Amino acid sequence: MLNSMTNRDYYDKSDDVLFALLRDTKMREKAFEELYSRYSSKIYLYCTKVLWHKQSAEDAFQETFLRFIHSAEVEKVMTNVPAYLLRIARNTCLQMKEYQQRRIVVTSENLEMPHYDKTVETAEFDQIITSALDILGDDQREAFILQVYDGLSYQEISEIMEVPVTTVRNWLVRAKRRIAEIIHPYMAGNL
Amino acid sequence: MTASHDIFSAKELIHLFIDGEITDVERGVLFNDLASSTELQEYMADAIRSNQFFEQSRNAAVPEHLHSSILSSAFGNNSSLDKLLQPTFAHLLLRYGVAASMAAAILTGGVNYQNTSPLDAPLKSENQKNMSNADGIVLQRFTNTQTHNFPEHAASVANWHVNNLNAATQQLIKSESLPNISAQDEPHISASIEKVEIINNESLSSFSVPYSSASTSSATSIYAKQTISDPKDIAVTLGGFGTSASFTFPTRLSVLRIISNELSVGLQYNARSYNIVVAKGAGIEINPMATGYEAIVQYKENSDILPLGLKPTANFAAGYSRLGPTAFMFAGVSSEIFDVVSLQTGIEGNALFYEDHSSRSVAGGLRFTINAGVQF
Repeated sequence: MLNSMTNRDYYDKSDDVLFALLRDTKMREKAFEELYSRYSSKIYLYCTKVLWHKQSAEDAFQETFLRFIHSAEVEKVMTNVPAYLLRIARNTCLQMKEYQQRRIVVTSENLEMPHYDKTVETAEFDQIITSALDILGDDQREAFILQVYDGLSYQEISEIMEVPVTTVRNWLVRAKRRIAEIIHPYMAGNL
Repeated sequence: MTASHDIFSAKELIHLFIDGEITDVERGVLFNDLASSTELQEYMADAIRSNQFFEQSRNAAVPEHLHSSILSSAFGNNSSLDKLLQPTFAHLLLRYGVAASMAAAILTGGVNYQNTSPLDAPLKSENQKNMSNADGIVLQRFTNTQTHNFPEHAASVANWHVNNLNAATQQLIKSESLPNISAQDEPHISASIEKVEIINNESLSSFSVPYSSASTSSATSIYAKQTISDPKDIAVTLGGFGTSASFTFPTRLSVLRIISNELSVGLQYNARSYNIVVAKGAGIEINPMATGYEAIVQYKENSDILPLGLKPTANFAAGYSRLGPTAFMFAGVSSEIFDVVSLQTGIEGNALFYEDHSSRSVAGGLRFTINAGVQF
């Protein structure tokens, strides 16, 4: 019965059921495809915004999903797949960042700008935001990315970053104020 | 508490309000300030608009090749790899450009066809089983270029030589307990206006650099040469389907990377028995694209200093790709029998030096190869 599931059947499954299906050799690929379609965009955004270096971001993105697949062999229950994915992505990106800081010189060629269906103006605005993120401290930037691009609540961010919610609150308001000051001149005519 | 500090705090409260994280007390303070400050109202309007932009930005397009790579690494999905290897229009253009050049050379010159028949099937199939997925794809991809029509007598002469060498070769393979023993077809085609050579190169035994799961190999190559000066010292070379590498970064990611040269153009200078070729290879690295440069020094001793008409032959090439420096070497002997049959045998090896997370690593291998063919 399960073997004859259609794509629509997978679409209707919850995250935890799909995660459990990753242990089934016959259904794991379809289950993964569905989970990938749900969360790849979020994870990709996180990796590109945190890492900047295009190749490293793509490597971290792939590594995140590979670790995720392998984790299904040992983790029996999964209650929050997107948070779990982000946690893996965060650990992977931290490792990548250490490597980046040691070895990689970021150039404009490999500076990653995610592609959206966007106009020239919004693309330019996105680049300004991405550049503005660089002036933030690591913690503020990461909290900002998790909240703004990945849509996490303050509580979820505090769990992933393992800090109190009040700390996340402070980081975010400071980060947003600084970003707002930078982008203010561009706001009037471009958005 | 200054007025500026009050406005500053209110701006922070605006972000908390938009995020839905504001407390009731803070909301009261914010609305009081908003009622009396135009600056705050403008700030809030900007914040709401930028927040809308951020929400739109959450749907970033993920590059398709990442999806394919993950599937192939996690599930060994060959169909996904096949998608990776589908040539783009530019690659097809390069490929057919080389083919057209070869056809022109054949039409205007003589033909020298050299071909080794495949080794006996059991050995070959066993070796193919030992290949990684990536090797298999490279093999499959380039084997398609071997659809030649050649006279039966040419093939029989070639077969005679290969079969006589085959027993010794198998003995060599059996006597070596090398890791990752594999063999790979390596057809080489070279051409010039005066003479056309089509050489099928059989790699009989190979092993990878120890402690590296990555491997490189010399894949199909097409080579053409046109002399442009008299005496024949300088020539323009046209090559394609050159050195390829297929490997994964074991310490970094299990992501397949494949490099192959589709086209190279260079100048060749013949200094007595030395050939020096400096070429720029336009290579593709699937995931992602890359180009590289390569310089080749070839040596072939023309005098008979060895018995049986054997001539020492050596090639060395060094190049640079985006992934890192590359090197290729061949050392062996060659011979022409009655100006009809040509043989070349020796050891060839290649290497790719690349960086993983913490250090520079090397991938590569050594192979015992035989080229055999007939000229007419």
